[in-house]
Formats: sequence, C-alpha cells, structure tokens
Amino acid sequence: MGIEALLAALRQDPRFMGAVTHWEVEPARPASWAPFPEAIAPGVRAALAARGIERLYSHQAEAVAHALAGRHTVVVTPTASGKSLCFHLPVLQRLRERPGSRALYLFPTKALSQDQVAELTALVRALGSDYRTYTYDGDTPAEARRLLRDGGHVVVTNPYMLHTGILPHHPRWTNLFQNLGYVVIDELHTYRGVFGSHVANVLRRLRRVCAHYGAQPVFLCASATIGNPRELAERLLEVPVALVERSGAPRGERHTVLYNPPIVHAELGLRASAVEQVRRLVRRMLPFGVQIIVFARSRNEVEVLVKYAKDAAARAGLPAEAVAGYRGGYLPRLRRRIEQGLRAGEIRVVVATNALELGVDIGALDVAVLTGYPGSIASFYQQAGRAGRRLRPSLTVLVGRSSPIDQYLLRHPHELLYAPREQTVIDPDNLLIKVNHLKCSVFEVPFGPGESFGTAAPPAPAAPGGARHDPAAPEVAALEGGPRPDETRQILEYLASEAQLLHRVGDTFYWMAQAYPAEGVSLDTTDVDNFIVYDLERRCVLGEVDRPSAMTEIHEGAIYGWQGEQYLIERLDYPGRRAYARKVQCDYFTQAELDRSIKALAVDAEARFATYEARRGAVEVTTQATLYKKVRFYTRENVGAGEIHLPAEVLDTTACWFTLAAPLAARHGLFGPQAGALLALRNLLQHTVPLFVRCDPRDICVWSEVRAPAWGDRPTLYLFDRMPAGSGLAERVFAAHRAIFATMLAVLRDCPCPHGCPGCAGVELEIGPGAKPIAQRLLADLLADDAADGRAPSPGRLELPAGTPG
Amino acid sequence: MNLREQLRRLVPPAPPSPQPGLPRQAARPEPPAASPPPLLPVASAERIELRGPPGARYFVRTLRFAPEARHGLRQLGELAALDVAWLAELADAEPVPGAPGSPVFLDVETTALGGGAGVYVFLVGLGRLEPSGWLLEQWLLREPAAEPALLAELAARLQGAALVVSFGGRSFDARMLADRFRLHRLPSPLQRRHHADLATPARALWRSRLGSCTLQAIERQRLGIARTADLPSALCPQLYFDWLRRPGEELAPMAPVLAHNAADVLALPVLALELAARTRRGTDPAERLGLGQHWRRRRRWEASRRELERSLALDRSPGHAPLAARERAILFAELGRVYRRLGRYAEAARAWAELLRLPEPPLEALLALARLAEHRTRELVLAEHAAALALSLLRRRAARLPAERAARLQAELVRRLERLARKRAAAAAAAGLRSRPAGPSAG
Repeated sequence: MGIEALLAALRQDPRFMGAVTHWEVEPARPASWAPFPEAIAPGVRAALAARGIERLYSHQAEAVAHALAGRHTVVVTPTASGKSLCFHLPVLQRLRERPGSRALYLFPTKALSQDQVAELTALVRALGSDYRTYTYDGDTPAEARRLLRDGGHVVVTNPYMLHTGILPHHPRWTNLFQNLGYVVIDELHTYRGVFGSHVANVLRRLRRVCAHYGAQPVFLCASATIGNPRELAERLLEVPVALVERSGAPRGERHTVLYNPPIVHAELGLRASAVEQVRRLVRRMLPFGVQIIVFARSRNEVEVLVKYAKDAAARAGLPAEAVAGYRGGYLPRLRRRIEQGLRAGEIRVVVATNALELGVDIGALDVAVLTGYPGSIASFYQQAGRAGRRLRPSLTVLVGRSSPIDQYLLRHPHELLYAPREQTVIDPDNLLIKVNHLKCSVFEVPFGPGESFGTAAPPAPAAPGGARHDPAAPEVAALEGGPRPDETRQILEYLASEAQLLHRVGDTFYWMAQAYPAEGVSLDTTDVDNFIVYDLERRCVLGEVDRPSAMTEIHEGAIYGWQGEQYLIERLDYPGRRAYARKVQCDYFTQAELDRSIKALAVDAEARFATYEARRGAVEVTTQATLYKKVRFYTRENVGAGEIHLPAEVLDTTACWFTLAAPLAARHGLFGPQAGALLALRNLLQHTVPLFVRCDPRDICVWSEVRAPAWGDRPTLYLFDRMPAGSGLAERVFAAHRAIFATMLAVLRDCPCPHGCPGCAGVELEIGPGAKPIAQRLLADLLADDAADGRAPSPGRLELPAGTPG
Repeated sequence: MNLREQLRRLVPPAPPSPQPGLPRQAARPEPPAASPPPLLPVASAERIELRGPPGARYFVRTLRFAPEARHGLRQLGELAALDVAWLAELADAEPVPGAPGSPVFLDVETTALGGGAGVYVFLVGLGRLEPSGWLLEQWLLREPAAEPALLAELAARLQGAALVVSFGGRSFDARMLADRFRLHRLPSPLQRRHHADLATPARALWRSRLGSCTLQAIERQRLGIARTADLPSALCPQLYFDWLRRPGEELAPMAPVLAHNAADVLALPVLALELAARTRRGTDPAERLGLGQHWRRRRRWEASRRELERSLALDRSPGHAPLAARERAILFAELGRVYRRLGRYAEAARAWAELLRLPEPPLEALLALARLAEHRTRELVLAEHAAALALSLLRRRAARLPAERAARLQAELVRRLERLARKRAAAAAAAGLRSRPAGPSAG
C-alpha cells in the first residue's frame, strides 16, 4: 500500500502504460543549508531555535540578507520550502531594532493569511515579545479594528481590504503608514491578468499614501515558479527588485506522467473523455490509501467528478465524507472544513478548480490528477506541486483532453516539461483599470504638479534567451510595442473638467464628489454583483455565482451542482440577484447555449492582405442565453431542452477580427456547403491562442459570422477579451496572428484524423464533412500571402513554437 | 478612438450642472443669515473675510446676536446661567477642568457622509456666548489647500473651551474632523471626554413620543423653532461643488448652505437649555422614564431609580398626561431591573409582578421575575405565575424569535415549572398543608 506500491502497480499495468505518452522521474534533492546572517539578533535566533530552526536553507539566508540591506526582493520557491521565514525574520529583526515599526502582509485570499498569522504568532511568543499580529479582513469586528489600527505591529490583509478598507481611510491608519518598514506580498504569481493589473494599481496607491506619510517601505515578495518573477515584481512595484530563485529545501522523488486517453472512434478521431478517464484512475488509486487531489477545469466538472469519486469511494468502503469538492462559490466556512479534513487525512480525495492552486495549507498529498492541461505551464506546475510536499515520492498524472493544445503538448512533452515557464503578464495601464484606481488615488491623496500615476516607462521585458522552446516567446515579442506615453495628466484633466469628479486648483487635483470611488471598483470583476443561490429546503445560502455566469448556470431549469448533489433552479429573481434551488435526484446536468452579436465601435489598427484583412479595436458584444440542453451523466446523451429568458449581457471590450476576401471565401465554398470550415478555424483559434498569450482560456472568446453585415457580408472571425475595456489580449493576438495561423495549420497537419476531431478542428458532426481539409487549405492560402499593406505587424519578429513547420 | 473618447465611454461626463432650480429658490429673498426663525432678530452684525494666500484661501463669516435675541423658547443670553457640568453629565462627558471659556456649539458640513481621506469638511460652524452677545463663526473652505490653515484656526478657537456641544457629533462631526487633523498630522483639539453629544439624551427623553428624533423634528416639536426654506442637508455637497467650480469670490451661491449650517448651530444652545431644564425639573412621566432608562444604560443605578420612581409617581398623580400602556410595561420592567441591581429584591419582585396584570409584558422581565421569585424572594407561586405566563407568551411569539433560542427558552421554562411544582409540593408537605395547584401547569 502507499504511493510506492501505487507507482509499481501502475508501471506493471499494460492498459495504463498503453495510454502513457511520457513518464518523467525527477530524483530526490537534498537540503542545502546556510548560516544565519550576522545581523540577526541573538534573541531572534534563540526564538527560532526554540521552534526547532537551528539553521536556514540557503534561499532563506539569501532573501533575509537582501531584506535586511533594504533591497526589494522576490523569492521564488516551490511550496513548503519555508518561504514565510524569509519575511518573518527581517520583520522580527526590525521590530527588535525599532519597536514602533510596522509591517503589512498581503495575501491574495483570506484563507492564506490565517495560516501565516498562526506561524508568526508562534514565533513572537517564542521571542517573548508582545508584538501584535492582527488580521484585517471583512470578518474583523469593529472594536478589534480600532485596536489593530493603532496597536498592530503586523497587519495581515488582502488586496481587497487594502483597496476598500485601508487606503481610502488612511488617516485612521497613520500609525501604520508612518512607521511602515516592510510590505510582504505573498503568492505574487497570482497577481496576473486582470486581477494583477488591478493589484499593480492598488500598489501604486499604497506607495502614494506611504509617500504622503514619508515612509519608504521595503517590499518582500514570494512567488511560485513562473517564467518572469523578477519582471512581474518590477511591473507590480515599479522599482528594481532582487531575485532569489535557487531553493535550498529538500524534495522527494517526483513522477510526472502524461496520459492520453485512448481513441475510441478512429474515424471520428474521438478519444475517451478525460473526465471519464479521471474517474477510472481515481477508482484505481483509492485502494492504495493515497491522498489524491483532482483538478478539474470548471465548477460543473468539479461537481460531476465529486459525484463519481463518491461512488468510487463507496465501492472502496470509504465514507462519503472522504471525498470533497473545492471550488469558488463555496462559502468560506465549508472551505475551512475541507482544508482541515485534508490536513487531518480524513478527506482522501478532493476535486478542485484552480482555487486550490494557491498556497492554501492542505498538508501533503500523494497524487495530483489533472483533468486536462490547465491552460498554462505555470498552472500545471502549481497543480502538480500539490502532490509531494513531504520527503516521499509523489505522482502527477496529466490526463489529456481532446483539445488541440492538450494533444499538441502530449505529443511534444518537452514543450511542457523543459520549456521555460510562461511570462506572466499584467497590464497596469489598462485604461479602465488605471482610471478607476486613479480616481481612488486622488480620493486618498491629491495629485500635485508633475506627479504621475505609475512609471511612464515600465521595465522592458527581458529578451527571451532560450526562445526556441518557449511557446510564449511570440507574446513577449508582441509586447515590445514600447511604453505608452504617460496619460496621468490627461485623465486627471478629463475627470476634473468633464466627469466633474475632481476639482483643480492650479496644477493640483482634489477629489470633490459625493461618491466613494473604491466602492465601484472590483479587483477581479467577480466580487461585485453576485447572485446568491438559496436552498429552499434548508433555508440557507448554498453559494454565489457572478452575474455574467448567471445566464448559463442558474437560469430557471438549470441543474446547479453542489458537493456532488444536484439542485434544480426553480426560480431566478434576476433583479434581486437570487436563485432559488431545490435538491433533486436526477441523472442529468444542463448546458446552456448562447447567441451573440458583435458590433465594432472603432478600428484602432488594420492590416490588409490579399486574402484577408485583420483589424483590432473597440467592440460591443451582446450575449444572450437562448436555450439549454439536458445532458445525461456518464452517457452524455441529450435528454431534453428548455428555453432561457434572461436579459442580454452587454460587454464593451477590445477585439481583433479577421475578414476573409470574398473570392477566397467563394472558392472554398464558405458561403455554401463548407460554411463549417469557418467553425473549424474558430475552434482552432480558441485553442491555439493560449499558447501565445498567457491567459486563462476563459479570458478570451471567439465568434464567427459567415456573412458579417458590417464587413461586406464576408466571413469574419472574431476574438474578444472578456475583460471590460480589454486587458491587452486583443492587441497581442493581432500582433502575433500570423504565427498563430501557422500553428493552427500545424495542428491540422499533425493530426492524423481525416475529418476533424476534438484534437484539431472539432468533430465532423459540428463542422460538417470535408471541412477539415478546406480549413487546412484556407489557412495555407491566408499564410501564402505575405505582402500586407497598411499598418501590418511585422511577422519577422515573431518566432514560432518549436516543432511547428512554418 | 483617442484617449478622451475612450474616457467618455468609461467614465461618463457629469450631467449639466443643476444650477437653476432649488438652490436659487432657497437663496432668493433672504439675506444670508436670515433663514432661521421668525422669532430671532436678524443678526446685528455680519462680517465676511477671505483669508489665506492665493490657492489656499478660506472664508470666515462672523455673525453677532444680542444676548436678548430670542430663538424658539429661549433667549441666547440664558446660556450664561447654563449648568455646564450637568449638561456634560447628561451627555456622558465632563467639562475641561478649570477651563476659562464657555461651552462651544459645533456643527460641520462635509462633501460626503461615508468618511475617508477624500471627504472634506468644507464648512465648520462654531457658536458661543461672549460677554457682548452670541457669536457664530463659520469657516468655509474655498480652496482645499487651505485646509491646514483652517484647521489650525479652528483648533485655536476650540482651545480653552469648557465643553464642545453637538448633536450627533461624537459619531460624525468629531470623527470627520479627527480624520482631517490626522491627515495633516495636526494634533486634534477634540477630545471625546470633553464632547457633549446631545443626541443621546435628547433621544432618551423624547424618542418614545416623537418617533423621529432628528434635530429638526426636535426643534419643531420641543424647542419652538420653525425653520423656513431650509436647504436639505443632502443637497449641501452638490451646491458646494458647483460653487467651488465657479470662478470669482462671490459668496452668494453658498448662502443656503451657510444658512443651513447656522440654523443647525443656533438650535444647539436652545436644545442644551431645554434639556438641562427638563431633566432638572420636568413633570412629564414619559420624559422621566426616558431619563431613567438613560441613566440605567450608563449603569447609574441610583439616578435611574430616582427617575423611574418619579415617573411612576407622576403617572399616578392627576394633572399629568399618563403613560401609555406600552410605556408603563417598560417602566415596571426597568424598575424591576434597577431594584434587582441595587439588591432590593422584594421591590424588584413587586415591580415585575405588576407586569402580570398588563397586556403584552416584556418576555425578558418575566423570565427574570421567575428566576428572582424562585431563588431570591422564594415566592414560589409568583415564580410559577411568571414562568407560566412567559411560556404562553413564548409560544405565541415563537415565530418572531430565532428558532434555536425559542426552543432553548421553552425547554428551560418547562424544567423550571416542573421544579417549582416539586418545590411547592415539598414546601406544602413540610408545612403539613395540602398544596393547591396554581396557574396553568407545565406542559
């Protein structure tokens, strides 16, 4: 029994091994130690010794030395390598030297901060001091708030509270800001995309408030392994940052297995479903007594897999409580219970979304099973890192899906295992985000003459040295459009003269409005305007759903999964933001279908080729849920349908789109029987873009129209950003689109299926017979023509991913 | 799209300023000081000054009133005889020991209600009695950079005042000002200890009869003040924003706001005088009851008992408006509570026992009575009555209580009734008497 026995059994299982495309073993690694830095006071050292820490890992010593020297630092380490000591030690040392000093700890979520507070409090106790560590979040009672504002030596909070609770009210926090020595930012890698861009702006505000009080804190950051930790830190902090990246912590042997589900229908190119394969794997592994974490892509998938795993647990003689789901939308108390159950070993299987990627303390697990490639290499390692924190072997199984990107990586395992991690990109200068935080910042401290919000010129991204193996390299190239000019003044002037939110006296801008700007700004677009799902029987709240998802997840008639149980949405009070659910026994789940229209508002760039035109600009996307299908568990057959009557969602965003020349379209029959080839291109585009632009696949949407009225009734392929006002994805795709087309073509050529499969163009049923070869010829035609006029991006600068025939 | 067009999509431009409309009407015929009451003579002197260097200027407006000036039920000059220590005690404050000055009356206007670094205190009104008469000063921020200078001047003016008096100011005006002082790293002259917030005692005295206890409702119904053409507070910030954006130094557009603030400040001395007088020698049983509750909340048990007993006596004597049934139930419940607290158990039991005869007795008091009568005064029959009544009330009101608490209380009462029946039987047996069942039995 145990992980060793499981590994041996799998190796001897011909059926399992038949689906394995790659099995990687990394040997165990011993610890590397270093002495305490000289500057650490003997008392602090003694306190650590009392906690069983006699010496430091090399990376801890290095980070502490940087921090004590006043250098902003980012530490990159795997989970459970003792990174928190890298913060605690300099913070305690400084408190020792200057008892009035203060530190601020930022964690991306509440849950993470609780673990850290416990650790720091234990250290302080061992030190025999009364430095006080307080958590400031939405749960902190009002009386405690005053106490911690004045007396908390270490204030632990999250970006949301910093954004709405602390910065706007900084006069009540003068003690903190005047004496702020260190700002600790943990889980730096989670500050990416839209959220990261918001947080970068919150940090700009933090620096302005510190400057108001004359404080210059040192920033200490920690990040999981990503491609560009220093660059990310420097973009977030807008100052030079020292990097500590060689971990001195020991690690057990790691097994990474890439598993491609067998083809079940050769003609259609259909593979067994990844979810189904995961179900079998879990059933196979459970009897070995290992603790398993299963990652699924969507909330729906989590619920389906929890149900499967509970069935499997029952068969293995385990109680139903040994299986749990863990996803966004569960209430905090339930999450805490699950985390404890995992640490205590009572929960043997947890099925999670990427909500558990973060450093939530759930103890050591033995096996991680990934249902499909999680969308980025960094995510892949984060999820895999959940297994094997102890000095024991661990196993990660990536079960591939039929999608082009999964199939591509399973065929090229080195792209996954040896490629440099992707660049994590944020766009602190996204206009919507920047304007919103600029408003908050003026509210906090008036803007004086010549002051700018953020650096005008962000540090240039490091040139990718080993770009040959780096699928993200084209994106980096695409980023080098040069820094945007500083817009601060123009925005301030607009906010004063037209929006009348600011008052200008000479060259200084003051907030002068009754509104409270931080209230209207959500850091991740999901924490505002949520729907509550209410259980009619138990009379309690089951969970929350964000507004854009409501039309597909909690429309009337929808089946809402919760902890493996099914709830029927009986009524949706749309204006009241409430859904009423009743637990039901049913053998199906629901899937909604969408209708969409895209209106271009402005074209910001255009490139004309003989066979197509590429454009990017501002669009208005109107999305409407039309009907839903009932899909049976296990067999996935369609057992019914219903209509959805809900208001349309309107999104103002940025997009790029490609309009094909009419003769080309006519030649390939796109207006007639071969319209499906456009769907094939759309499927390919959706799945290929994440190889070029580091983003969550759900951050982008693709759409197509065979006869786009705005574009001369010609076939048009759209890609738009899900973030209101756009997060810069459309620009990058526009710049890199020739390379993306080339990879799409390569995917089609590489795939052996004759008529299209989920691993390339989509299934024949969807795209129609003959669409795959048409799509292939179309792409070849699009790429053949190299002579663009207009402001075309220069394709020469883009590098293709390795293994991609040009 | 250029940047400006993009901004227009993201941050909508403000609608055209609502300049014509309500404010103009409010500002129309009145001289700046005159919106308050018909009874009050127009200010005998008004002075307006613009202070500070360019870019950091603020207005100071001063109004003087003769000591004989009448406002509502009072003359402002009566303040000279105000018992400041008593007023402070009423409001849970204390005068600055040995302070030379009289109390000052404070009210501020802010750009928003929520607080935060971007909310400005744009207008501060401060009134006090001087030998020459009543003085009202108003500081109005013309340019935000003038804030430190304005605050410094305000701090100097507050220095030496015996007491700061406000309505609702402990939770609002003082906090807003404290934020501004801290923001500019100036020491705040406002100390909670020396700040008498009259809202608390005023509400204690009048809430049961007035319903709404806003300053204006109190003015109208208890102070004899009728405001005319008063600008609603909620409109003040927008008027101020519009004025800030106007060029020039004309003060007229701000007249309605200045008048509103002046009216708020001027009501305070009248309120202080009325509160002090009525709490000293009022003959309204409802006010005595409110005051008794007020002291009880402060844990001033003897003072509370005195007022509650006075209320009871007044209620029973002819010539005073009697208490409503609901108020009387509250009175007995409060009396019992205070007596028990003072260790006067027999009197507590008598007061609570009165509740048994009233409709809608408070549940908490019945529970307390059952406990007290069983364990302290050993009146088992009374305890059984109280518990039985509590149980029937609980059953009627169960839907209004949290289910868990209702169930717990119910179980407790059933146990108590069983125990009481046993005790009574034992006592009867000991006394050689036959026990007679009393009241509804446990079930």
